[in-house]
Amino acid sequence: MFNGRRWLVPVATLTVLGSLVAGCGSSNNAGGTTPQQGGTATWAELSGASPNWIFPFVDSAHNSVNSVTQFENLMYRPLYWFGNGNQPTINDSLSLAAEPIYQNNNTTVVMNLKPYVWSNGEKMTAQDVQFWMNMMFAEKANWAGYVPTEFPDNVKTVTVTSPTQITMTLDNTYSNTWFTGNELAQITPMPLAWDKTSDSAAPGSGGCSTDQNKCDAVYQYLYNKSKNLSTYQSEPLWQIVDGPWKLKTFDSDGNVTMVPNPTYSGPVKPKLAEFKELPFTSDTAEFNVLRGGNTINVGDIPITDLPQRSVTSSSPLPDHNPMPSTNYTYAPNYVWGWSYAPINYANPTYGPALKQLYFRQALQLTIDQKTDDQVAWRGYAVPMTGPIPTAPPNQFASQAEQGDGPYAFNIGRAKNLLTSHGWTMQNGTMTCTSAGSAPNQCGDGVPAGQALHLTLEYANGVKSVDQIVQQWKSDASQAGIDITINAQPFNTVISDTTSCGQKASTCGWQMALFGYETYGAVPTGDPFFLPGSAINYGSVNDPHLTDLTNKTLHDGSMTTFHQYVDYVAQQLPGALNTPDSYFVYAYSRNMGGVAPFNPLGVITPENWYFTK
Amino acid sequence: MAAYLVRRVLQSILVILLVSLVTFTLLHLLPGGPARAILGPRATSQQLQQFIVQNHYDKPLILQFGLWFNDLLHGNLGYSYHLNENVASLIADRLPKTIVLMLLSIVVALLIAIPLGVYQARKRNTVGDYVLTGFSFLFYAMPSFLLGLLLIILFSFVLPWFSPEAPQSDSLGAILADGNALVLPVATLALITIAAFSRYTRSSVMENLTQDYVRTAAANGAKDSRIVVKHVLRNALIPVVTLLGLSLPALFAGALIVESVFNYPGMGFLFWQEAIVRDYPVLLGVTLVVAIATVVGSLLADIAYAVLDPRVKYA
Repeated sequence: MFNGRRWLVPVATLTVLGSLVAGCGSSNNAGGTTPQQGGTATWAELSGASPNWIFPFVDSAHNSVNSVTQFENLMYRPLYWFGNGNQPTINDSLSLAAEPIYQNNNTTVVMNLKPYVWSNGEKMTAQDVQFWMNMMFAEKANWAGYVPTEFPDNVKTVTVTSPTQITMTLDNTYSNTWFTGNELAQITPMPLAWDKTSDSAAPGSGGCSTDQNKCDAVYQYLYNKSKNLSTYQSEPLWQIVDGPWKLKTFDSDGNVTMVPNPTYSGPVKPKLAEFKELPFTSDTAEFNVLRGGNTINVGDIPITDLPQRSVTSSSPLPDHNPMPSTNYTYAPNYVWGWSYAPINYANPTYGPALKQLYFRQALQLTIDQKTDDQVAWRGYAVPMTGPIPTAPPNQFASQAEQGDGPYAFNIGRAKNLLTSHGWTMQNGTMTCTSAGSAPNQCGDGVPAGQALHLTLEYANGVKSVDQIVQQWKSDASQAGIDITINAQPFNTVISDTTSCGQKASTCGWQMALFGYETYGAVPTGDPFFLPGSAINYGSVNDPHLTDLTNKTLHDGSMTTFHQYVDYVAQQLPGALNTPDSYFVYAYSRNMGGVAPFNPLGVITPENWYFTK
Repeated sequence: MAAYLVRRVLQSILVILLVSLVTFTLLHLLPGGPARAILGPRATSQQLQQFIVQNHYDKPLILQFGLWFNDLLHGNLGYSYHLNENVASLIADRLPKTIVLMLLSIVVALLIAIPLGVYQARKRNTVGDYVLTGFSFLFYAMPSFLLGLLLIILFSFVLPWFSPEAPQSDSLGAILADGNALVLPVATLALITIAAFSRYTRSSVMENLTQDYVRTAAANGAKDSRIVVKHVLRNALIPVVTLLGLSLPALFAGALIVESVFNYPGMGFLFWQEAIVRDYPVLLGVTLVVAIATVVGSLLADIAYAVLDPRVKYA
């Protein structure tokens, strides 16, 4: 899926709260609540993050939330829509097909299309799905969401069984929740009018919708079309949509105007006359315009411009109005992802120590997430107590993650864990004085005399993160763990933090911090913990965890899923939890239908309306 | 003069080449190559390798430079994956915006700074001179983001007179027509620049006012205003012209902070944004444009110097 690691990109959910912040004076829409037709609503893009790719079969180089979920999906709908209120669950109403039917011990999937129509008048058929799947088979290396052994490698056959039905056979039994949410949700049916290799060719002449061997030329044609930003608004291909919106204007700066697709056959027709996305060069610029109150209808408020939220507040929103006017209503926007600091089992010096559970526990105990929330994130963060975010409340978070979780900040406990495992405080730093693998010794491979001088490499540029690492360094030193912090540009950190595998002898990084990883609809751990996975940075290879992770892919029960979550929350494999900040969004008081936002970062302006 | 110009142009080409080579080398020495920056942490090793080969990052540095230079000679500055646009198009889109903003701010700064400098020179060591010097230093020392934000708070929020963001149109005509939105970004840049120009003008005018030709003109009965405007100013502006020539690179490089605060995506913002993601083609393209502006600016300053001061002869 379109997962990615970023600092603070709002991907998530708006828990909403039709109710608002007490004291904000903005608890109701101004001037009434009756929806009216028409009007132009403006959405503030995140700073420096404008859409610039329109072809929904997106490669890694062009994959971004701003291009896919906040631009393409408004025009070209995925087969299965995820995001239901503030939950990352399937939304049957907005999906193009009825819920898939799993048969033969979940090795066969049958999908029945709803009667959707493309804006050129053609009916959406199973061939349109086949078109996508053929391209997926042929061009999987160019698909941003491709994970070896997963979609489409786990699909044996795809058969159009009727104009409205398509059947897949799978190579194994899969969890229907996972397969629908993280695999089938990647499918975006494409119109046959796109199946060609030149402007003058007839629709369907490319042959990709029937023969995957012919897909490369079609892919190249569409890819090159998508590279031409200046033709987005005029290119007839891109005007054939099945979503509620059509592109009216587009420029390379990121100014986007969409108008309703008059032939949209989905359940919610847009009420707005126009929907605009506005680009911004910085958070400051966006907030200045938002404060002006006349240009932006929906936009986020930078953390630095939010008032300190009280630690005792039960609301996730500011304690008082963050803006001079009462023109806006506020709502939180949570991140559906995992905020964590990878640790490197393969580091030649500290890898053996980092592999010890007690040692990871001690490190986790020195991270004061509550202080980080209050000081670094000004009260707009939620502690991560395991791999699944606990806000908004959701079915995936396990019991072990509730409350303060298993490893709430406790320096005394961290020290005890170290001293009870063969470490002694020497000159303010814990030093291994009892090497060996007995329960009261430092652990396998940890040499006697090794002092705890760890290095944390982190992505600079975000003041809150600077504060978090400083706080951690200070707290860890009290437990005898000396952390050297090394600030580097984001891309240097993600380049350094690679899974070392066979190159362990030269694997220099020890701990890293560069943001969070977003999840697909089902927050499984396969990318993080399966040996050899792309973002198994710390080279975790734990057979029990591999087994638990694999089970979540093949068994859809929540019990199985929670066993995986509990294990990760307890064992801290290759990762320490760090607080997960969320966004506060402002939207015009005379608007409705805006909140809650989709938990996976998509926006649905067809739900928005002005009130009278 | 012609021979001098030819020699300077040839020197300039050499300088531009060297700047390109040095920039190219330095960029490629940065830790963490472009592949992971562009493709993201989840890219498979196969995808990373494909990207590296496709963009020749696997070849020796000098060969990469040769390929880039060959493309350059064919008018191809490369392609930005991050922005999905040709570098030439990006520059063509951003450069006019930057030039408009910077040019307007320089013109405004000159229109204010020159009379100010003359006034201060003629009224030197008076209260007026001290006050204006104080303001000049204040604005000169003030970071542009702070000044920009102060102006926004004062003139957009407290007194809602001007737009807090610069013009958002892509067309130059529309940008120029949106005078209200231009006021604050232009004022921010101009206020910071005024100090430099006015101080140069002040000291230069002061120096010229003590020259013999001024006394001679006064002895011949010329009015003070005529002496200053007709005689002193022409001589006094020579150093300002040099300063103007050296401002040319800034005209092309843009003003990152002001562009960022006022939501005006120009060259400065483009360079910064792409530096973060190791977008080599954009960085090289922008550097090349700024390098050309620098040598051309320097050349123009020399030529202007000769035009303004007949004593200067270039052999």
